[in-house]
Amino acid sequence: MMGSKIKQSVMMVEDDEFTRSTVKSALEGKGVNIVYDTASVKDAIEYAKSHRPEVAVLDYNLGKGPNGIDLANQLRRIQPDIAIVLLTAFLDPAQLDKRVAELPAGSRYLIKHSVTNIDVLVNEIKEALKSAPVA
Amino acid sequence: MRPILEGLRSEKKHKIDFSLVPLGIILIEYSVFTTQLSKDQHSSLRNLIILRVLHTILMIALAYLLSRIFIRLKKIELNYRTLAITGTLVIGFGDFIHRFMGPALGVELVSADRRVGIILLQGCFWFPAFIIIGSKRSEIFHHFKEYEQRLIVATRARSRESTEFLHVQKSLQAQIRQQLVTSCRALIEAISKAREATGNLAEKNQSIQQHLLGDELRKLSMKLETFGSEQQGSSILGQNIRSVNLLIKQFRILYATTARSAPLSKSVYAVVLLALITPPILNYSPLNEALIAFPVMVLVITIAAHFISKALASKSPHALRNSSILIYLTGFLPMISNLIGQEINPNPATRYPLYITGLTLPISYYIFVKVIQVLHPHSLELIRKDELQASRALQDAVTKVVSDEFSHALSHRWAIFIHGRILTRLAASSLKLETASQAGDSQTFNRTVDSLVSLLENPDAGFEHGSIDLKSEVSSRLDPWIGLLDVDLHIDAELESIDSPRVRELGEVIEELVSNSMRHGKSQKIQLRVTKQGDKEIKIVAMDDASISPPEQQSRYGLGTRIFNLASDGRWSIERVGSSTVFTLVMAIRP
Repeated sequence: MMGSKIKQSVMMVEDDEFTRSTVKSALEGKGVNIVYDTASVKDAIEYAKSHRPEVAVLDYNLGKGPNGIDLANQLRRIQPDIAIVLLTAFLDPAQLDKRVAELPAGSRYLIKHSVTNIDVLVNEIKEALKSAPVA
Repeated sequence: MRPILEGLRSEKKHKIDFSLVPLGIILIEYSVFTTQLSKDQHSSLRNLIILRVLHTILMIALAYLLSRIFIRLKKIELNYRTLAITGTLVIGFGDFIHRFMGPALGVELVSADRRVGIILLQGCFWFPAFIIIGSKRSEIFHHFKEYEQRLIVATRARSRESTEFLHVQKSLQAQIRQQLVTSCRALIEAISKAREATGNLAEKNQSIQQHLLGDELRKLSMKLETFGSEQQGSSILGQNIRSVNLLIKQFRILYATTARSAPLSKSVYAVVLLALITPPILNYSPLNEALIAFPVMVLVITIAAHFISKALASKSPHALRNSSILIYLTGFLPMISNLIGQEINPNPATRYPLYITGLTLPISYYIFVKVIQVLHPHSLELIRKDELQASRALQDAVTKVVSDEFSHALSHRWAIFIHGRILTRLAASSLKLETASQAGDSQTFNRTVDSLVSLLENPDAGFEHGSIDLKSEVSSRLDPWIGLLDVDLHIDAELESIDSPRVRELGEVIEELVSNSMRHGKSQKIQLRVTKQGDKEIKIVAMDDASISPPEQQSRYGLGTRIFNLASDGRWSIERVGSSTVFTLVMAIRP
């Protein structure tokens, strides 16, 4: 059912430590190459500037300050071909906050409770890699 | 005291504005209609109505034509004398037409000498009055806009401290917490039940998983987010109540303030009543009686005006009420004098109809005097400087707006909190339980359930943080944006250590304006200045390099507007200056 493993470098940004470690270990269990995980937007940007990861898995809600969509847009400015998967508890983030900016083209978003089956997230990462703009 | 209408010799120029002239014409035509109706000078009511309607249309068309001529001649200002001559010519022309239309429709006109008197009065008084008040309209509205702004700010500040608002704050917090706790308890119960049920790990996992979708909590979060948006309409009232509305809501207070501090002169009370009573005197009294009645009326009205002024100037707590009663009663003087005249010399032809002198005239006089009092230039000056007090209706309206704004902002914070803290944890726990179940790891499985239950037992923990100083609050709001936006921050040294319950609101303002600047303005740099203004206020000025201009005022009634309004009581603005967007907000340091 599952295709080949994801070899591309994946960065994870999630402010809740429990969630971050859970999703990270589940993804690693599926052979996903998680190269960096953080709770901080600032650290994520610094990392993206210096290491250019190919995929970013971002939580929509990052606590105070910018949300996952703000970060996604900034990552695309730094690295136009980065694949983006946004995790949210809602089908459409605009349902939660009317003021959200638009998600960059080719990004995928995934309702968190469907992550129970980690294969769903793995598939979304693959889809995001396919639909990310070509640099 | 400056008179409302300048003397005939005055060279002071008045801008010409015909916008109120149609209203003046309609009032004059109505007055002529009631006179003709009462004097039975018509063949049929239908013909009388046709005559008055046609004449009204004709006079409005004439006024419009005249205004176009003035525009063509580039006459934008005239002195009172010219206005009076113009008015007399216009009304005279109207009367000339009337002479032909009246007999054609079977309506009998009063004699020429009486009509001359009426033409002079209308042309020299009412026509210039409507032109001059019309020309001062924008000045009047400007004064009221300023007044409105200051009044709303003061009322908002008072509303934040009102018991109604404190009640809304407490009850909404308690209500949301209660709903959250109830949903979480139901979830704990369902999870515990599934966990204790007999079966293997996979069966227990399957049973727990269905509850971890968190449908109830998702619904609650959605409900909280949409809570305020349903009430957006009332928000418009918050920052920008239209001046006309405000004038109506505030009329009693405005009148009370201006009548006590800048009362009209006695002559105004007298002139207004004489201007109202002169047409009936000319219409109903023969010339010899009019020559007696008019000076008598002048004398009586002058005495009444003296008493009105005296009542208003007295130190009695009932001065205002007493003077208002006197104003109303003064409006009955023409009726009383006519009734006395009828007792002395009964004559149905010279009897004023009671619905004019007993009803229309006193009410018109009362309204005219009160409106002139509030709109008088001296009153407007006073309104600019006066200590403000909101009427009960306005206070209630503003309190409702402030409560709505608070409710929306708080609901939004809770919605985000439930999403970020609880729904996220449910999803992660779900994933962890699934993995542990597949691996047959009952220890991890149980630990995960325990940790989830412990979270759900205190679901609101961490929602509020304690009061912190201004510098730490601002840093905590700005730090997460580093990397997305280049922030140049300056905080006055004496403000840095301020620790006030309002610091949190200031933090929300900063977060909101930074996120707006980046998300909607697409800016990359922002300069932020937090300075002390006087002893009691903080001023925030933000200037960014936004490539997209801020939306117009009317379309800005979202959450951001509510946050700014709550913090500043409406004292904020966004404007485009060159290639930058400048945001300014002033807020009180203490609640």
